[in-house]
Amino acid sequence: MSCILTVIESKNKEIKNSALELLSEARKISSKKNLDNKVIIIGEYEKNNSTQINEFGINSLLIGSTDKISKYSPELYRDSLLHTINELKPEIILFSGSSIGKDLAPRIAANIGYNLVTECIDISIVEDGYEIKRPIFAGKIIQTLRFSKTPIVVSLKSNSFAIEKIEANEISIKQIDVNISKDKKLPILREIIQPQKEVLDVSEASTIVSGGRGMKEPENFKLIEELAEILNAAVGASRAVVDAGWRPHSEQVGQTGKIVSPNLYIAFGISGAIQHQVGMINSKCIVAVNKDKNAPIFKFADYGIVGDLFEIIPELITKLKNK
Amino acid sequence: MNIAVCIKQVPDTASQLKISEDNKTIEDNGIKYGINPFDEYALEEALRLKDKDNTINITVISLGPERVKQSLTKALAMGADEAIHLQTDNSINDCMAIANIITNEIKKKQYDLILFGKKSVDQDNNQVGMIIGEINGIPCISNCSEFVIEDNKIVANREVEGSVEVFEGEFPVIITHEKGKNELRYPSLKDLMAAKKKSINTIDVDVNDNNNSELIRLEYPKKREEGIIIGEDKSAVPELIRILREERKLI
Ligand SMILES: Cc1cc2nc3c(=O)[nH]c(=O)nc-3n(C[C@H](O)[C@H](O)[C@H](O)COP(=O)(O)OP(=O)(O)OC[C@H]3O[C@@H](n4cnc5c(N)ncnc54)[C@H](O)[C@@H]3O)c2cc1C
Repeated sequence: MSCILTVIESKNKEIKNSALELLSEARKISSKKNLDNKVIIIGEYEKNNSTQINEFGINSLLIGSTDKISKYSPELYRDSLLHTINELKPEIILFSGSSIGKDLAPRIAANIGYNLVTECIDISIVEDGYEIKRPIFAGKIIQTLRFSKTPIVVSLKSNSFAIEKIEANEISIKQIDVNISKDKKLPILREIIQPQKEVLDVSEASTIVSGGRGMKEPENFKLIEELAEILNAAVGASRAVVDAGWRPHSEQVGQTGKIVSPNLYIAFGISGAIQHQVGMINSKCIVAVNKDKNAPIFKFADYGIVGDLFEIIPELITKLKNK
Repeated sequence: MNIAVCIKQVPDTASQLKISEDNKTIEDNGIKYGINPFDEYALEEALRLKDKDNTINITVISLGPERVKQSLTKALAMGADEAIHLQTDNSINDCMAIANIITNEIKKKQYDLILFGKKSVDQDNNQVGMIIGEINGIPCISNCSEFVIEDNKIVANREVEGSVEVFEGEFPVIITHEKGKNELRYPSLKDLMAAKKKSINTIDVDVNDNNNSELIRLEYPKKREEGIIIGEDKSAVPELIRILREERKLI
């Protein structure tokens, strides 16, 4: 029986939330195409956490977890995966659109000579293969590609697929060998620079509170941070404030920042230039606060307040705190 | 030290794009082209190394039709030493094919550092740097926002969710570059005029597009409807909270 192989990632020994989208899509494909539903997890992971993973119709879970690969290493992850892929010969391999997926999927595709399609937002099964939709030009256009020859490697754009659980089932779990290559020439991970306080990343958050040049001064982002904390949101920024050095690039939303699609995106003092717009237009709900009623952002925001953000953010904070 | 910077010419990010009647291509007229922003950041980093060490030689390489020469000329004006135009009139979207063509070129010279933008803002594929690394056995550190050379090693900051991974590697190495921290330089008119006199090495390439995919159609995304203005000052805040909490169940 041919199989689908889904590559999922872990964080703090648990599977990442983004994996649930992948697992939901993998289940659909495996049941429609009658494929064995196999999942591989590489990185730190503890088996007894597998309860949340058994509601996706997985047949077998392969775990490649040793202390040596608790941190991402392109080559070690690649070699461990290639080993499994060569054994299983899946007809389709799914990756996430995370920083690991973006780095790893092309390496795998290059080594096994499969085609890779990145940033997919829809996979449908057609008579002679798969039809896959993906945004191009930062989402200004959607392309549909048909793959009539398998195997293929697909990476899914984050926050684009519904999470659907089914009744829990037994999963056969197998530990796999991780090949630790001894090649000294490989780049080594020297350190990981963490922000002082753990922050939610805009690409992973379900709510984002963003600020632009209308914030006037970097210190005023305290308001954004406070509101974000109340809403359990990530802080986002326009390029104008990143280029001014007020905020780190990791928070930038847009064409040359991150393309995000949270459930809720709240923009304060952001005009809504096209390069910002393409980065957040797929948010489920957009709220804009801007003192200029003609700001382009009101053309695509679901809810707007035309007003001074220095009045509105404190009011939001007070009212949300009082419930 | 020899540095190659691979640059792609793409439509300006402010372009309004129009799908042609065949639903498979984008109308070309009226589009302004320029260097892919991420490639330009990569080029800027190379130029900054050269600012400090003039023995560094920078070659810019671009694959595409005749118009690509404008971008190569701009790169020369910014300070690159040599430009190579891999010329083809076909539009190639298969990353593996692109990687093979570029591989043929970079094999001709001993490059210590090969730079790419992390992705091109037209096809958004995010693949070519890593594939070239794999097929040539050259380590690739992707998605870097900055890098330095220390003791004949490269130290590069790879941006990941919520943190930065600092990788250290030996040459030769490939880096795919994020938007950097450094501002881009703009060539003066004088530099541009001088660059126009520099020669661009043009090489016709055969495109062997093995892609097993077929483009079915291009379409516009669903248009977002214009929303509502809830109010003009802070008195609108309770209504906003009510909507987000009760109607939309988002907070
Ligand atoms: C190649 C390229 C790539 C780019 N990539 C990106 C990208 O990834 N992300 C991005 O964001 N931009 C990007 N840009 C830049 C983009 O074109 C805009 O310049 C930028 O988004 C503007 O940021 P802003 O909205 O914060 O500032 P502005 O456009 O200056 O808008 C500030 C807004 O704040 C409002 N305001 C001011 N004071 C107040 C107040 N007291 N209360 C309420 N509202 C107030 C104003 O009315 C105005 O609408 C890119 C540009 C190029 C050329």
